[in-house]
Order: sequence, then structure tokens, then C-alpha cells
Amino acid sequence: MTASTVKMAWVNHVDMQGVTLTASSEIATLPVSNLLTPHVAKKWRSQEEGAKGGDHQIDIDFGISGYDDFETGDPVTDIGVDVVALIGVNMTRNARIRLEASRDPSFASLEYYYDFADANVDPRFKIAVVQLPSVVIARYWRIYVTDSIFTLEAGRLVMARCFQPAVNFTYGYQIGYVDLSRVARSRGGQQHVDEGNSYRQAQIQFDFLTELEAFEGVLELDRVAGLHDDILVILEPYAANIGQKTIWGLVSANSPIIEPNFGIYNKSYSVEERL
Amino acid sequence: MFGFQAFAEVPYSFLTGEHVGIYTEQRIYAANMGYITNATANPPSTYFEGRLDVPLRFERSVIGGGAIAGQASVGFGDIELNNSDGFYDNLTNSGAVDGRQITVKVGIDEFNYSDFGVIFSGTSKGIAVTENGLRLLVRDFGYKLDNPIQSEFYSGAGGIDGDVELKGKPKPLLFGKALNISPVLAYASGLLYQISSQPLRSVDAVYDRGALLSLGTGYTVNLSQGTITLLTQPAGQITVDAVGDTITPLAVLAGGMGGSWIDISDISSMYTDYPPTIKATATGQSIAYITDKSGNGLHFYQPIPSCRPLLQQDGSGHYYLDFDGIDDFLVAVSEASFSFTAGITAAVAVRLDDWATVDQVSIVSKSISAFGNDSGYDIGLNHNSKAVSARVAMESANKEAATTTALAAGAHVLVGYSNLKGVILRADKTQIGAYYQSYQALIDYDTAGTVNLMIGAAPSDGIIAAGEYMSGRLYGAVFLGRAPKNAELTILENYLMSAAGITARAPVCAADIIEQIARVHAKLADSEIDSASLNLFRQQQPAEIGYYIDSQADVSATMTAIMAGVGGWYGFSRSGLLQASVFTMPSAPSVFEFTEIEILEIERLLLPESINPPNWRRQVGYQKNWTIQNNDLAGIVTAERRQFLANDQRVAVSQDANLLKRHRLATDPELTTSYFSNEADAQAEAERLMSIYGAEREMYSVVLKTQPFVLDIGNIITLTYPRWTLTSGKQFVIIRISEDATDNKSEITVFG
Repeated sequence: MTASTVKMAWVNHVDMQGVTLTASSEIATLPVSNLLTPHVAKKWRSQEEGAKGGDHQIDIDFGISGYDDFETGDPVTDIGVDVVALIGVNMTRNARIRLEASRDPSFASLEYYYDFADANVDPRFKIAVVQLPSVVIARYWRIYVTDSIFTLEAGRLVMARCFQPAVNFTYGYQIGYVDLSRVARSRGGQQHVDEGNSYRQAQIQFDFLTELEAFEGVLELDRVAGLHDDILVILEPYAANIGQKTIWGLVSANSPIIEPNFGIYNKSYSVEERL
Repeated sequence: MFGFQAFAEVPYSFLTGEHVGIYTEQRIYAANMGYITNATANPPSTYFEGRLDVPLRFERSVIGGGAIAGQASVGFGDIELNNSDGFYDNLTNSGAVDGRQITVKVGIDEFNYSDFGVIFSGTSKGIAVTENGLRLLVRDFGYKLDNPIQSEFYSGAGGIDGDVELKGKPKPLLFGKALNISPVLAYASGLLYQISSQPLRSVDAVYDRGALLSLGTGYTVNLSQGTITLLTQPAGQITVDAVGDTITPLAVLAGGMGGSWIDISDISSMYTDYPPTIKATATGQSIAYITDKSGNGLHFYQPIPSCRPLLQQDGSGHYYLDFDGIDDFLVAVSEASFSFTAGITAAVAVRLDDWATVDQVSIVSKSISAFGNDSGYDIGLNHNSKAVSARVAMESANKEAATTTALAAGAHVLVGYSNLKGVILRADKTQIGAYYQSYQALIDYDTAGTVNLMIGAAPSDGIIAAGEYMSGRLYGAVFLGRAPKNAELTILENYLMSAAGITARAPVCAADIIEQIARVHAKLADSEIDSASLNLFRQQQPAEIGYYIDSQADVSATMTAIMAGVGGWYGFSRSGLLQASVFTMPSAPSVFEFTEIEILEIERLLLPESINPPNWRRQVGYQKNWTIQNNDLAGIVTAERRQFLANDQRVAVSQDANLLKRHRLATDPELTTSYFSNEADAQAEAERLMSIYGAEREMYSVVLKTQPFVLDIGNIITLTYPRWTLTSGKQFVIIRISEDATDNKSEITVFG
């Protein structure tokens, strides 16, 4: 049972060198490799369910069971995953999802098995998240999706290990939409609107991070992801509508870690949703 | 639901690998938001990168050279793509977009991509690169008019190909009626003079040192070749009054789609023997061979002397071939282009001796021998008890458009065509019968074992039955291996109606010449011409004009000269269609009205110097003398004629001396060089110009918040604003428009 505090993940293992994705089907112009591109709008699209003869399936091969840290050169032998998310999906509320993880390409023996369950997708947010009860180490993964739709679309695949502080961010966090619409006012005073897309933005403030959480957690997030790599933020892991409380995007502003009192650290983040 | 979004398609050539000179064309798809087309769209399931920071900034204007109109409109602008992550760096490193077509569409992302509207279709001039972006410089299709107008050159092989001294020189071109032009002496030993490399409508007079020569005794004419041949050595300079034909079926056949044009009015295109060696010269001769004037080599012939129709001339002077109804018919020498794969069109000007009682007569027929005349195509009479019918048929079922109402006695233009989705029958420009296939089905036409296209009869199993021969007159015919576009249909029908004397042929006007140049010389496809715009232009300015070219000239320079003479403008629309129009003051209801609600900014502008202060006089030329002759004239030339020959053009004047009382600095612009044939038309143009520029006008620059890309040059709008003369609303014409899809604002310059 995981804690109910925020989860943050900044190392998406599917972005590693040597990872291969295979889908049960794909449109040639919208291949499954689109799940690796940063833009959620650039999607993988399956063929119609009838054409490929079954449920939709994505196979992930991390290529190696471990890798060398690109900066330190230290071997990292365990690719741990405790969250799997598909972002920018066109799933309906009827979608169901299943996960399998194995060190065997035949999946004869499983490290982890998550049986078909409600994917809990709210079409407004287009995010499917499966939170694993613990970190699973495996090279081969398989995601099954069943839904009432004919073709499945997804814009990004996230498989990561989450950082989760013991104490949640402080009350007063903010989340809202940034509307890209533009308004011009004419000589008569009337307002004219060019309607644009909207994206979510959240701001959180940690006031009670431990030294370990500060230096091995959020400071690592700043080092690895900074303002340039996407992160996954699950604001409320036990939310009934998990998509509503999850943002995949870039850090737009952060603060250095501050130690206002002995052994207690502060840190703030602003995260903007990727579209 | 989102607002309108913009989408751009940009093909570019890409240097592949290290194979220098090996290029492939790739295509960039970008939108102002990430977007994927659906599986049935074109292109299907395609991702549009959400990198279109500036979907389109585009400006189009007819203001130039200190004047409001009289020249080409010029459109240019740019498109900006976000490249902050280097996504397009390969394009800047080894790609090239210059000269490639760029398309920008707008739509709502919930719509099918194929339903999006094109707001721009033009070409790229190149790329400007910044650290964070790519700026594609775009312009309209004006470059398509930057080519030489002449595509035919003398080879020096003698005859119509010219003497060796002319080798490499362009052949002359005559559009419309021109006076006293100097034809090119193409073949000196044969005394062959070429007036135009395209067909002439008439040669009205030939002069030797200004003295009139006589047709028949002094010279002969070949309208098809655009030449005259002198019968005796000339005494001096030869000049000609002639009319160059325009908007003939050649304008439809020039697109490389095959087809054939049989022009009975051009005797020089016919022969009395087969193989063809002896040209027809007079009525009463039997015609064995008719040259296809399309240039496609689809000639018609009749090898059996007794089966040849006779050349005749009706009471109105129109030539026709008389088919006896007994055994006369013609057959195409080749099957090329009549394969039905894209459809077929037959347009004929014909007068049957009896439209009401004959049975089983075929005017035009193309059959499949294996199945008899039940399989093929024909326009006939009383087929299946119909008065007139057009059929595309297969073995077991006719696909027939027909009417049971007999046509009135006299000549008619019949057109039967099929795009394999249906068959349409028209008589005298009106649809009189139609057959349509069921939804999305095509007529299943069997192309095996064909019999060549025939005129005057139809074979049944290779044999023509008695009573199926046509008895009547053929004035002309045009065939296409496809269905015509609407504008092409109009061209064919108008031409054939005049060939048969049903309607008089209108004099060649500026719109005819612009359309002829666009279709034949600029080689624009029908889909690149705004036919509605040209038709409106034709109605606005129907006056007869003429223009002669005997040296190297550009398409654009020629069009500019013609349009300047009629106070018009031309150019490509944002969506890539050639438009032309007379510049007029508002005389129709406004297409939009703008008030303070839409006006973001407004500024009153200074008028161009040429009309500020207003003009008090305008002069317009007419009856241009294309060869000025002051001396070496024959003694017989009259004083009046000498005066004409000594001057470049005549001048019509419109003036308002009273204007000088109000505006002491009122302007008197230079003479407008025009090419009108008649003084009345030049006078009307001078008065029209005075009505525009002899009045006090206003010009405003207005920034509007309105639906983007719906306004265009020439649109009439009403401005209402609590200043100047605009308090009660005033109509203006848009003469410049600049739009930016980034903020959906339109900046227009209006004149009125």
C-alpha cells in the first residue's frame, strides 16, 4: 500500500537507448514509435480492432536488464517501474487495461501481473494510469487494452519509478487551465475572441522534505529533468478520477532547495501540461 | 470545440544520401496545433506537427506605379514554423523549398481534413532561418506568368517553318483585331507572310506600300496557319489588318488531354483527295480529308470518293459539309485519346435535313465491333424511339441521355458527354437529357475491339445499315477523351454556335485574350483559372480590342499591357486562381459592412499623386496603328489613309474643365495606351476613368477583426465610423489586403 502523498517521476525508462516498442497493430503513418516523441498530439494509432483480430497490445522491451548511468558510468542493473501511464489516449470510460512484466521474452514466467481492470480514463483528461503496488524490475512488459472504440490512440507512454515524499506538498497548491485564446477589443469596445487550446498548470510547494528527499529526490529531478524533460506528477494517487489529478508535462519554474530549519527542506514547482 | 485552425502542406526536394543530384520530394505537414487526419482523409492518418507559429501572413495589392489599377496584383507573405528544437534543421541543411507549392487550409479540428477550406495556394521563394524558427517566404503563382509568351519558333526549314535567316526567332502572335501590322516574311521565295502562329478569325485587308491588295488576285489566306501568300512580288512594305482568333476549342485542347477539332469554316484545313495532297479551295468540292486543328493528329478522312461529303456555304456565309444521307461519312484516322478511360465528349454543330422523322441516324459514333453499335458512344436520332440521344453503352445496357422532343428545324449545337458516372445531352447550351449511375458506380465500358470515331454514320457489326447515314450539314465538331469542365463547355458551345450561325460570334475582347493567353500560352490548367472572374470581366468590358506581338515578350508583360488599356487588374487569388477584372467604383451591394464593432484601427491615407488632386482630363487611345508609315507609300493611297498611317493611335478625350475652378492643380495624366478597335469604346473608357479619378476620392487603411481570409481584392465593403464622410456609411473597393492568421486580423486599404 503506497502513501497518499504526491508522486513525481522524471526518468521515463521507455526513452532509454535500445528500447523497442511493438504494437499489435499500427497505421504506417502513425507508428507505435510515436509514443516516444515528446508531443502528446503525435499519436500511435492502431488499426481497427477487427482488422488486427483482437485486443490492442503494446510490447515493451527495455533491451537490457540494466544500463550505465550516462553521467557517472555506474551500472544500473535494475530498471524499476512502479507507474505505467498512457497519455493522450482516446479511450472511453469503458476501457480496461492489463499489465504483464517478465524477464522472459515469452512471458512464461511473470514478475508482475495486473489483471484486466477499469482503466479509469476520463475522456476530458485522456490519461490512463496504472500505479503498481511496488517497484517491479523486468525487461519485458506487455500492456493490453480493451475498449469499445475501433482504433486505439495514445500520444505518450510513461514507465517510471516514482519519487514520493513522506509529507505531502503544503496546502494552498494551485491547479488551473491556461487558455491560449486571444482577445482583442475594437474601437467600439467589443471583444473579439480567437479561441485557442488550453492546458493545465499546477504549482506545488514542499515545506517538509527530509534531507534524503531533498538531495536524492527533488534535486535529482532538477538535475535530470530541469526545465527540459517531461515529468509525471500524480497529485493525488488515490483520487477517484486519477486523470484529473495527473499531469504530464514540463517544469516551467522551480526554486532551489531551501533549508529554513535544521533537517527540513523547502522546494516549489510549477508544472505545465504537454499537449 | 476549438476555433478555426490553420494547416499547411509544404513539399520540398530533399537530397538523399550522398548521391549528389538525386532528389526526392518530401512533404511537410504542420498546423498551429498537433493534429492527425482520419483514416479516410487525404492524406490519411497523417500527423501535422503543431509547429505553425504563423500560419500565414499574406498581402495582396493592386496598387502600383503610383496608380490604383492597371497592372498585375502582387501577393506575397510568409509562414513561420517553430524550429527551436532543430526539428527542421535537415530541411535547412539539404532541402530546398523554392518553387514548391504551398497550401494553407483552415478548418475546425473536428472536421474531416478534406472539408477544410484552402486559404492559400502559392509557391515558396525560399527560407529565412532563425535560431528558433523557419520563415517560409511565399508568394502567389505570379511566376507562372513570367515565361515567354511564344512557344513556337522558326526552325529555318522553309515554308511555314521559315527561312534560315529566321531560325530561332519566335513566331508572331495576333490576338483580336489589329490594324496595319507588319507580318513576318517567313518564306521569301514563296512570298509567305505569317501574321500569327495561332489561327486567325479573318484577314480583313492586305496592303502593299499602303495600297490595298485584292484577295484571290493579290494574295491568298490560310487562316489555320495564320498566313497570307502574295501572288506577285510586293512593291514595298506589306501590312495587314487581321483578327487573331481567341477562345477557340484550342483553349480546351491545349491541356495535353488529347482530342480533336474539326473546323469546317477553315477551308485551308481540308483536302479533296486521300492521301491528302490537294487542298480544298471552293464550295462544291468533295472533302476526303480534314485536318485536326488541335495538334493531336486525330484527323478525319473518307477514302471512297462516292462517300465523301461536299463542302458548301449557307446563305449567311458559313461553310459546312453536306452529308447526303446515302453513304457519306468520315472516320478518324486514329483511335488515340478516345479510349473512354476518362470519359468522352462530342460537341457538334449540325443541321439535319429532318429532325423529326428520321430513324436510327448517327451523327457521331464510336462503337465496339465485337458488340455492334450497342456498345460504344454516339449522338444520334430516334435511338430507342428518342428524338435525340447521347449514349455510352456496354454490351447489354445503354447508358443513355435522351429526349423525345424533336429539335426545331435548323442548325443546333449538340453536346453529349460522359465522365463514366453519367451521360449528359445538351442542345444549344441547354441540358435536354441526363442519365446518372448509381452512387459511386462507374459505367463499365469495355474497350476491347474498337471502331474508330465516325461522323455521319454508325457501324453495326462493322456494317452501316441503309437509313442510318446522316442527311444534313456539319458546321464543326470537337471531341475530347474526357468530360469537359463547365468553363470548357462554354468555350466549345459558344464557338460552335457561331460556326453554325446560330449566334453571332462576339468580337475579341480583353477577357478573351487574357483567357487565351492563360490557357494556351501560360499553360494554366482549367483548375487554375477563375472562370467566374473572367466571365464577369467579359461582361464588364466586352469592347473589341487587338494586340500584336512580333518580338520576344513575356506573358505577364503582355497581360499587363492589355489590362492597363482597359483600366483593369489581374493576378492570382490567395487560393491560386487567375483572376482579372476592370477596376470600378462600387455599384453593387457590399459584401460586408464594418462598423466600430469590427474596426480596431482606422487611418485616412494620402491619395496617389496621379489622382491627387483629381484628374480634370483623361485620354484613351484606340485604333492603334501597328506600323507607322510616313513615306514610301503608293501614290494611290488617300490623304486620309496617309494621316492614319502616320500616327500611332487615335485619341478619345473626356474632360471636366470646371474641375479646374475648384482644384487649380487638377491633374492631366498621360495618354492611356489602349487597344480598342472603336472610338466609342475608347470614349466610354475615358469617361469611365474620369468618373473614377475626376472625382474627389478617399482612401483608408483599416484594421479589422473579422473572419479571416474571406475578404479579397475588388470586394465592395461599407465602412461606418463617426468621422470624416463615414458617419452614415460609405461604400469602398478593397485595393490592398494584408492578413495575419496568427491573430486573425485583416488590414485593408480601401478606395472610394
